[in-house]
Amino acid sequence: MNNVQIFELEIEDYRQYEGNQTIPLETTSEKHINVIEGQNGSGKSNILNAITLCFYGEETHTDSNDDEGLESDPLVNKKRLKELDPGESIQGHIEIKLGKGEPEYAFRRTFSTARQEDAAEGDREERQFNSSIGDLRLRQRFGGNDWRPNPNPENILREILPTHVHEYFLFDGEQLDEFFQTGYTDHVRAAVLDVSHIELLNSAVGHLGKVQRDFESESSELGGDIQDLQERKEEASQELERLKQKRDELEDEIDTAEGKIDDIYDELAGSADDDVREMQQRRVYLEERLDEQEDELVDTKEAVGASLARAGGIAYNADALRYAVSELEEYESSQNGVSGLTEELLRGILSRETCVCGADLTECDSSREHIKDLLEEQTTESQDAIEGRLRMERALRDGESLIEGLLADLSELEDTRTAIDENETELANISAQLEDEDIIDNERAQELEQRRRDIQGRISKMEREVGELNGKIEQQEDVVDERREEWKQAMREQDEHDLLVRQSEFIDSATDKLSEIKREILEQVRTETEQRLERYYNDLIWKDEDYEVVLTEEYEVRLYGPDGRKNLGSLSAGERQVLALSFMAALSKISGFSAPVVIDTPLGRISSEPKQLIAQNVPDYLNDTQVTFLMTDVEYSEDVRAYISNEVANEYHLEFQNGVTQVVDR
Amino acid sequence: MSQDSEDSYEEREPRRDVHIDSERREMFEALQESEDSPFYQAENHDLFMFALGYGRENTMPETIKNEKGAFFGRASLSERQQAVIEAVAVSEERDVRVLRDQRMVYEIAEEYANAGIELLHGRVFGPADDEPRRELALEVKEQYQPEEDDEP
Repeated sequence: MNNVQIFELEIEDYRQYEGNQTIPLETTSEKHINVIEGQNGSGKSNILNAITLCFYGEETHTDSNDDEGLESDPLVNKKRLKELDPGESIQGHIEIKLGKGEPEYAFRRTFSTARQEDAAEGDREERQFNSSIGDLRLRQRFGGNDWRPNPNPENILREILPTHVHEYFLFDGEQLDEFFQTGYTDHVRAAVLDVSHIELLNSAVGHLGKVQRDFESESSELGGDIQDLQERKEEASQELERLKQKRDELEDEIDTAEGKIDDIYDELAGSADDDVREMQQRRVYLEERLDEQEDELVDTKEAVGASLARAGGIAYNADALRYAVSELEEYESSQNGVSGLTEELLRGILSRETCVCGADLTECDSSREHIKDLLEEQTTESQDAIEGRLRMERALRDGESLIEGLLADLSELEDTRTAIDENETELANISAQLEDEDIIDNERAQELEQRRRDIQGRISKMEREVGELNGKIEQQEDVVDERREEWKQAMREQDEHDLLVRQSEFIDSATDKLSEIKREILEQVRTETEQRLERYYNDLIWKDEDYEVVLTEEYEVRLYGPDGRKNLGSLSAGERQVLALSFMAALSKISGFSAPVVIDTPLGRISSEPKQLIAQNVPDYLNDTQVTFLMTDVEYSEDVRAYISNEVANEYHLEFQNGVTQVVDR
Repeated sequence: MSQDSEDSYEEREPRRDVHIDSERREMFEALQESEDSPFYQAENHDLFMFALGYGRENTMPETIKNEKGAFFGRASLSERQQAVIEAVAVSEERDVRVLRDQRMVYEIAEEYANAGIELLHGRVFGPADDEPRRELALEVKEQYQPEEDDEP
């Protein structure tokens, strides 16, 4: 295997893992898959967490259903912590040996958990213990068995798997189910940006902007008009920056407020009151549906836009079409293209070989040729006229179906709007019921709902402000451009400042060029993602038909099967999972990093039949990359095992007893 | 623009691109980019055709005064749309022989679209119509019906 792989994962006293446990994971080109299987709670996800904690100092998988979340648990194994007196601490570590043909790098991170000095026996765990992590360390092999510390582990890790792309290599399959839900185009766009390596271009554009402003600010020392113009330009730029900053702040506040609403939703969804829980479930369903309907509304508006423009192009000109058709018919019947000389008459002259003036055409070649040319011209014009008329008649006829199509699109738009209105009414009713103590006798739910409504009100207000700010930003950009142009004009009028203007213009064109390169790169990455997405989807999907996958310029994923386009909302859980796995594989490939892939619960949300079907194709999935699956015992059924066994290099079982997990061969 | 004799229609090829007044490009774009516009995401050539028809129905052709900017390649017009453009020229000139001068045929279309887009932009974004999408669709349907005088 030519790609980087994990040779060994060593875990010491981390979460469920007591003592030192080493998991060999070396794979080969023929057997590129590892399987670590264990029941829920046995520490599967903590294998993934151990890897991300070691590399990036963060744990990828946190259980959102748990009030406290995994992050509130101590890092060190709980059994070990029982040995601690207040003020004492225990240290553990994660070590990952990586390399291509053989282990070359050993990344290691220690962590420790201390018992608080003032902790009492009865305190909750998060009050009793305090965890912290150490720096990332690296030993590197310099030939043979010569392992030495490398002082720059972050640099080496950046070369292997930098933090901004690691989530396309090390991820939780269960969370993928949400990837292609409403609003996914933002995730797809962000992901494509992540793997495009355009940070350098972005920082270069930022730097050029700064250099340009520095250059231009020199002109403020020139005095007179130029100084004024420079100041006006600078004021306009500062105002633009201020508006942008205000918008960014508001967007951050909106994110934070949305996070608070998510927390309220989690609490309502976990309520002990059945009515509250059901209402919350219904609300989540309706809101998801609303998002889908809003997407549908945009699609339908687009369809109406196209059909209105096309139908209108014919309808408003129908009178012209009718008039032109009748004129052309008249023209054809008169064949009056060359005054007085019809096609019939010309043909007669040629056959009689005597012109109307009495000239003998057998004796005059030039006259014969002239008559022939006239006939050819006459025939061509007649033919053109007929074809033109037929085209116009077809256009006129098409108008009818175009108008029918327009009215059908319009009616669909109205249906979608009605459905949205109904949905919004039901959502408002749910909110009112949750707040109504006569309906829901649950003070906490009422309090949460009121809070949610307040926050939602604030979000709507902030969103309106962002909309207004975007308008102002656009306007201000025009002001900046205008003032800059005035400044340039004044500078140009004075020859001695020409160099400064030219420098500034050079920066302009360099910035434009960089932006163009950025656009080209993004377009290239988008196209490549589309191609790979289609390839992996067809590799993984269990159906015989070939699917076409399109990633539009707006980062919308469109799937076309034998029966036409499949709405992503209508995909089964299995199909959606395959699409998400394919997307992750595409991104990991495009990122250019040859790192190993670790997927927690890859088939977690898939029912048994499609699971087996996906499993049949798993051996083809990323077949040149080391892939480690962390699977539940249900996921790794005997059928699934049989399908992938030929590709499996290492197979482990997580044996969980008395709060401690042992990794054993399966 | 009418021609007195057949000879005044010189045989000319059309230009490769169809043009609009560069100062009115923003009007086309606003109609295509706003979700509230009835022409949301319409293609350039389709919106041009609508503006041409709308201009013919509601105003007079208007010469492009500012810099001409290419709006789309003529090749993106469907056969149907090309036929409409030719019909408009015939109707405008009241003479089928205008079709020899394809350059003029397209210039007539450009002038009507130039006038039409300004009115259309004002109608869509102005305060007059609450539901410009519906209003325009009904108007389109009505326009397509032949006038009683037009009946054969």
